[in-house]
Order: sequence, then structure tokens, then C-alpha cells
Amino acid sequence: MEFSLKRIGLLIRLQWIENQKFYAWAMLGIPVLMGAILIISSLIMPGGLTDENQGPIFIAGLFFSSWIFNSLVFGKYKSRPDNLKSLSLPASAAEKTACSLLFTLVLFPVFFCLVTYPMLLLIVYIDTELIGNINSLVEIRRDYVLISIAILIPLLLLNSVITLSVRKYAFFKALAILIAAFVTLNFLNGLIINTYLGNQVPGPSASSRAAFKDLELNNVQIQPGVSSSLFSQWSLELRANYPGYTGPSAWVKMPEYNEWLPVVLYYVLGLLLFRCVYLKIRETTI
Amino acid sequence: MDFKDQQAIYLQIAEHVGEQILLGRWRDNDKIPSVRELAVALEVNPNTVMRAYEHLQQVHIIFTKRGMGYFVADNAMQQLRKIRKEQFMTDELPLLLRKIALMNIDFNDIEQAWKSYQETFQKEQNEKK
Amino acid sequence: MIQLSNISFAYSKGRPVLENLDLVLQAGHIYGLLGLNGAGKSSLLYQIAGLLFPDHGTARVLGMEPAQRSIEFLQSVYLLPEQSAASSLSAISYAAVHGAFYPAFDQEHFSLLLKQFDVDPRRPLDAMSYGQAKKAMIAFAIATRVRIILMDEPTNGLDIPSKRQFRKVIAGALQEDQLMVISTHQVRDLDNLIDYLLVLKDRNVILNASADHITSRILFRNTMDPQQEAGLLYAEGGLKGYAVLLKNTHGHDSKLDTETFFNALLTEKEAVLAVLNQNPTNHGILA
Repeated sequence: MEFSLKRIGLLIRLQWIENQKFYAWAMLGIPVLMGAILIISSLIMPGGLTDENQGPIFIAGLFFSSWIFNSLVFGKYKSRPDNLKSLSLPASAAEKTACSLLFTLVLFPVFFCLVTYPMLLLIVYIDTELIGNINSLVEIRRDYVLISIAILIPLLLLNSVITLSVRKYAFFKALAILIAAFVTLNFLNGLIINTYLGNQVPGPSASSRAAFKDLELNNVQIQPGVSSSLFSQWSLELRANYPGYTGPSAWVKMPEYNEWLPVVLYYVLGLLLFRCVYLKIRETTI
Repeated sequence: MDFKDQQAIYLQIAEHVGEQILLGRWRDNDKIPSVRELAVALEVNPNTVMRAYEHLQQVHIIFTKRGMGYFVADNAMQQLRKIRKEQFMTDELPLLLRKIALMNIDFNDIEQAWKSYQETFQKEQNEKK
Repeated sequence: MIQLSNISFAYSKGRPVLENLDLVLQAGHIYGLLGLNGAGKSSLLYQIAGLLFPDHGTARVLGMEPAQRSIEFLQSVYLLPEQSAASSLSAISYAAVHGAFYPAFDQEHFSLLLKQFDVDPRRPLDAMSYGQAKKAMIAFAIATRVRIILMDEPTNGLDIPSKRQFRKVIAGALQEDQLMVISTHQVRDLDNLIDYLLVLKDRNVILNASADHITSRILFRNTMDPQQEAGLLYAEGGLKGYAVLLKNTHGHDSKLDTETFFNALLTEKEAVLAVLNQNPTNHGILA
């Protein structure tokens, strides 16, 4: 594999200079669009732009725009003249992969945060000072940031592979495949955990039975249930599967000493996807 | 320069070079355009020009100095005239004579025409000078 | 320099574009790749450039396998497509950004060529007319100074003065260790520029011969009455006379009329090829 930092530098320069206009528009368009969404949220949501709403809106914007950007960057292998130009450029497939991924996985998300965060500050200010809601700025929590990055990167890598693999309507196909994958994995995860652990969930204790009795809920059958998600830090939550249930619930987490396992799996997944993108670019023809 | 349809291009190029020498534009020991320069000027493949130059070298119209290019050979004009004369005598004159014979033209008429042509030709040459 | 052996290729199964194609190209020549529209000229160039991979057979370009697309390979081969990718850069910044990838890129020569082509170096390429942008890309291709330049229909969309300029530029650009392949379906545009002819027909290269070889075997004439000529292979024309191809049995000189020759190959393929491929007679001058 041929890899030189000098050529990576040339590729970055090329990507930057060729798309300067696009970046200039993005620098203007993204904060304006995010500002509009935040302002609308402030106006229509109960309690205005609460700190609980700020995070999800920000993250959703980041994911969605990064994803579109990723599709655009790898979409150049779809149009024949662009594809021909990219493939003929004297740089190795590994270097081209590295440059494209640097732009979509690192530079763009950072760029998004840099241009959108000031906008968030501004809108929160408007929300509290002008619209009159009582809200504070969302606290940036380290684990949230890490989880967001951990989800964003494989998602974008997967999108790159799909964009490179399918010929037509890559964006919509990628969307469909990602949603299908998300739903299936979540479902399978729940199924597996339920199969192995579902019957181990303790039934209601004597004291909770008494509590139910006091509330005259004798007739209600209490079923222990399992809910889990891929994205719940490899933990699962056990609780009675009954609406309005506020009684005891249990969390089962990975044993502490095993916590490196998901990290390793995560990196393996990342490397595999990187490899897929590289191989795809290498075997792409026109 | 427009190429004629019949003759091989390398010969036409050689003729073009010869023409420049006959017209006195390129004199003995002058450097002539490089293969590339002439290829550009005539819009032809440089290999074709190369072939023309090789041909001209063979008949001692031009010569090459290593790394310096091509030059007009000594007495190139005489040599060219000689070649052209031979060519005329073997290729063109027989055709002309055949026509003269076929049409039964009196040789005195030819002589007459030749004399009057000589005069105008002389005038032309003098005017040029 | 370029060696394709037994190459077969199909975009979709059952509809081959190239079949059992063999081709050897040497340095120092300008090859004209002729063929009707859809004959597979572009596909052949893409195979050489490593942009398409053969289904069967092997390709060697400068001793490398094109499909590997190694950096050394990509730095030695430039393919100018019929339709270049749009770019909002000016010619001069395009060259600065892209030229850096080619070790021998000649910025000065590029500027000179732009001047010869009458292209504004400061104007964005996507704001130029098709022909102007194309000339800028031709200039770039030549300025890369790579050893193999492949041009797909470069004269398409050029006006007549530009076509003239194109011939001048190409005639002055070819180096001894360089090879150019120029595809065209407008044979006249290249006439005296090419010294080797490649003709693509029926999914294969049916002819790879020098202009000298062709004229040593075939005599090109204009005549009023084709039936009077000995060794007639092909005639086309009308009231103003006929362009004819005759067997060149006496080693006469004539000028290759590429367009007529190409038409002759399309209609009288077997007869013309037989004359070109037969063993040299006493009169023939081997190319």
C-alpha cells in the first residue's frame, strides 16, 4: 500500500480548493438553517428551548448534515466525469480514502460544531431574554459527546460503503439500509438478551405485591420485561412491562473488567469499515 | 502550406524545404528549422518531417551537426537544380513531348513561346531585385 | 510500451464491447484510434488507463498492470476524456492544484499553451464555452509531460482555428519516449498528425499500421474513371471524380487519404486487409 503524507496534503488541498464555494455556502447555510430550527423549537415547544431539547436538536443536525456531506463526497464516484477524474488522480486508493474520510469524519463535524454552537448560544439568549422562556444552556457532558462520536463515525463509514456500492439513488438506498439495519439489530439484540436473561428477571417481591395490594391493583398481572437497545452502553434495563409502572427496575451492565470488549469491537468495526471503503475505491471502475 | 492530394507528405515537405533554398531564403550553411519547428508550422507528425529530412540528407541537400540541428549543405541549390532537372527530364518532359507529338505542334511555335516567356521571366526577376 | 493480450470486456453480460483484443503500441508515435460511434474506442482507452478492468486477458502498460492503478502508473498515463468534470477553478489554479500530482508538470509550458489556444487563464473553467474549457484541458494533458497521453475525441467541439491550433500543439509536443493515442470519428481533423492508424471494428482492432506501411501497399489516387485503374480495391466519389484505392504493385508514392481509407476498411474490410497483411513483394517498402 502506497501512502505518503505529502500526497495526502496535496489531496486535502485539492479537496479544499475545488470545493471552496461549497464550503463558503455551507458556512453560511448551516448556522442559518440550524438557527431557524432552534427558533421554531423555541416558539412551538412547551417551555421553549429547554436544555433537554437543545442537545437532541444539535446532535440531529450534526448527524444529518454530516451524512449528507458524506454522501456528497463519496457521490463523486457516481458521476462519470468526476469518477474518472478521481480515479486517474495520481494517488493511491488508500490516500484517497484517507483524505475523503478525514473530511467527512473529522473536519466536517468539527466545522459543524464550530459554526452551529455560536448560533445555539445566540438562540438560547433570544429564547430567554426576548421570548421570555426560563431556560439554561445545555451542559456538554463528556459521555454524551463520546457516544455521539461513537455512533456518528461507524454510521458515516457505513454510508460511505453503501454510497460507493450502489449505482443509483445511493442516498435513499443508504437511508433505507441504515434504518433497516438499525431496526433489525435492535430487535435482534432485544431478542438475544430476552432469551438469555428474560427468565432470570425476578418477579415482584413480597413488598411490591403488598404495595400493589394497597393500590387495589390486585387484578393486574405483573410481567417482568426486558428492554434494550444497541445504543444503551451495552446494558439492559429490566422493568415490568406495564404502562404507568413506577415500581422497582433493574439494570444489567457489562461486568466492569469486561468494559474493554465493546471498545475493541468498536475499533475493529471501524477498521473493517475503513477497509471496505478502501477496497471499494480500489475496485471502482467507470 | 496546403498539401496536394497525390504525393507522399514527406516528399511534399522535402519539396517545401527545397523551394525555400531555391528561392534563396535559406542559403548554404544556414540553419534550417528543427524537426519540431517544421512539424508545428506544417501541422504534421514530427516523424514525417524527420523522414523528409532524412531523404534530403541522402540527396545531400542538408546535413546535420550532432546536437545542433540541420543545415543547408554547400551547393545545395546546384544539387537541387540537378535533381529537379533529372526529375523533369525523366518524369515531366516525356509527357510534354508526348502532347507535342500528339497535337502535331510545330517546334518553331514552341521556340517562339519560349523566347517571349524568357523575356517576361527576366523582367519579373529584375522587378524582384 | 502498451501491450494488451487477448483482452475481452463487456459492460453487461452477453454484450461484449471488446473481444480477444491484442494490441502493441510503441513509444515515439501518435496513434489515431478510428472507429464508428459506439465501436468501443473509449472503452479501449479506459482499459489502457486502468479505469476499466478486463474480463479476460492481460494488459501491460510501461511494464505495469493498469488495474493496479499504482502511483507510478497514474503518474505516467493521462487520459483526457471527451467530457471533463466541471470545475469552478480558473485554468491557472486548476493546473496549480492538479499539476502538483505530476512530477514533471510544466507550469510554464501550460501557460504558453493556453496563450497559443487563446484561453483566458483567469476565467473559471465552468464559465467557459465547451471548446475553450476543452482546450484548457488539452493544454493540461500536454503539460503533465506524462509518457502516455490518451485523448478521447479531443477535437470534438473545437472550432476550425482551434483544430488547427490543436494539430500544431500536438505536433510540437510529442517526445521520443512519449506515446499519444488520439481517438476520433472525424478522421479529417487529424489527417497528417498521426503516423499510426488503429481501426476498431467488430469489437477488435482490425488494423494497427503505420501510414508509411499503408501507402507502401495501397496507392491513393483521384481519377475520373475508376474502372480503368488496375488493382482497384475501393472507389468513392461522384461527378467531380473518384478517390480510389489501388494495389500499390510498383512502389509508387502517394498520400494517405485517411477518410477514404477508413471508409474502404469499413466496406471492403477483407480485401483491404488482405493487401495490407500479405507478405511484402519485391516492390513493397516495409514500414
